[in-house]
Amino acid sequence: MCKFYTQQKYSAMHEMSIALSIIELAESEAVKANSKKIYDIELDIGTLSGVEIQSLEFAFEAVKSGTILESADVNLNIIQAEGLCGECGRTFAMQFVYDNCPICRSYNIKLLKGKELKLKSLNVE
Amino acid sequence: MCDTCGCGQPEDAVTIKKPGEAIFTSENNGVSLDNHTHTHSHNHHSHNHQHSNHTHGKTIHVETDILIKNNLTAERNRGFFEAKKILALNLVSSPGSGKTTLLEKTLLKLKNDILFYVIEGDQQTMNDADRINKAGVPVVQINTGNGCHLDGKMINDAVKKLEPEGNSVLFIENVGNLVCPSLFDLGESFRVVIISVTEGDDKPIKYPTMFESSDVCIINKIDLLPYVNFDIAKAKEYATQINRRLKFFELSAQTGEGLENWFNWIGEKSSKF
Repeated sequence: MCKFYTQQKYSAMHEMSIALSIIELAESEAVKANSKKIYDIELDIGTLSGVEIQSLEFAFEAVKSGTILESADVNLNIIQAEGLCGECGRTFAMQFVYDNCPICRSYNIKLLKGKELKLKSLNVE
Repeated sequence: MCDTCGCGQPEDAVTIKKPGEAIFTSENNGVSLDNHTHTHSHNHHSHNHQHSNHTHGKTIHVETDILIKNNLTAERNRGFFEAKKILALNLVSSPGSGKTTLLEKTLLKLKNDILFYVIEGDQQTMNDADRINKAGVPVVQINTGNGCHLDGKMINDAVKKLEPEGNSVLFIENVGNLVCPSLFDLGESFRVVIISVTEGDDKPIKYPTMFESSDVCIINKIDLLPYVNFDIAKAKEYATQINRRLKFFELSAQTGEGLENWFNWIGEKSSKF
């Protein structure tokens, strides 16, 4: 259990909460695999996930010391958001969640990817 | 971290941009980029350099949502609410949009017909819970300290303290913040985002994540429309661009204008549960 969880009952800030959730999830997976050390952690973070990447990195650095992830390298896969137009069927890169289709201007858009907040893999001892 | 609650930010989380300018990152107050020693950028991460240095380890494919713990706790809450036929409404907004006043007016008007419970979320003070208590409705106050949002675990604990009876309506007044609470499912039946006409009508596109995740959008303080530069049609258009499912209510909690539609909606949803 990471030290921030034992020090306070609930986690605070939003990227901080995400960082703590990553550590907790990674710890439980490492324990299942009988590992005491994590070398690498690989995350998928979508550009429309609602998480500020730099803030997450900052929070993660702040909370990982003293945990099984203390010396782990973080590999972030930034997933560029993509939408599918419900009118003309084209797929296109999205910068904002409210982007419309660049071809037919429709707002009937299905988000194909870009919401990811995923712990993809761990490289462990 | 989050701008709304004023917690510490890493140097280059702030973007400073004039209309029409390309996005660049800088420190607060537009300090020159030359001072930057922090070399991270989004592009820096776009290549995948997984495990190249650590061929000695073994790889575990986890493939799990980072927020799994909160999501599972929220689903437990949702299951409890469904089994007890409790309509749970998560009220989210900026500070000062009139959440608590709307709540007071709703409780006072409907409490003889509907069994209500309230969970109040604020960083500090019991003020809001005291206001609800005066309205004669059971209430639990969650003070998050430095926290900027409620999460599933807090609601789970608060519900245990509140011990709500079935066939009721539970209002959860989230911490005033349009950023952080958007990512944290509480197990609510509906998420209700409230904006007031004293804010900008472009609020939906400034905080799209919250509007995207909400089911209902209340535009409050419409009695002040003659005095402010707020275009309701434009605000609704922006919100609809983000989320076509949104149901709108235009009202003034202060004067009572438009409240009837909101009351009817609550009555309809709670009776269907």
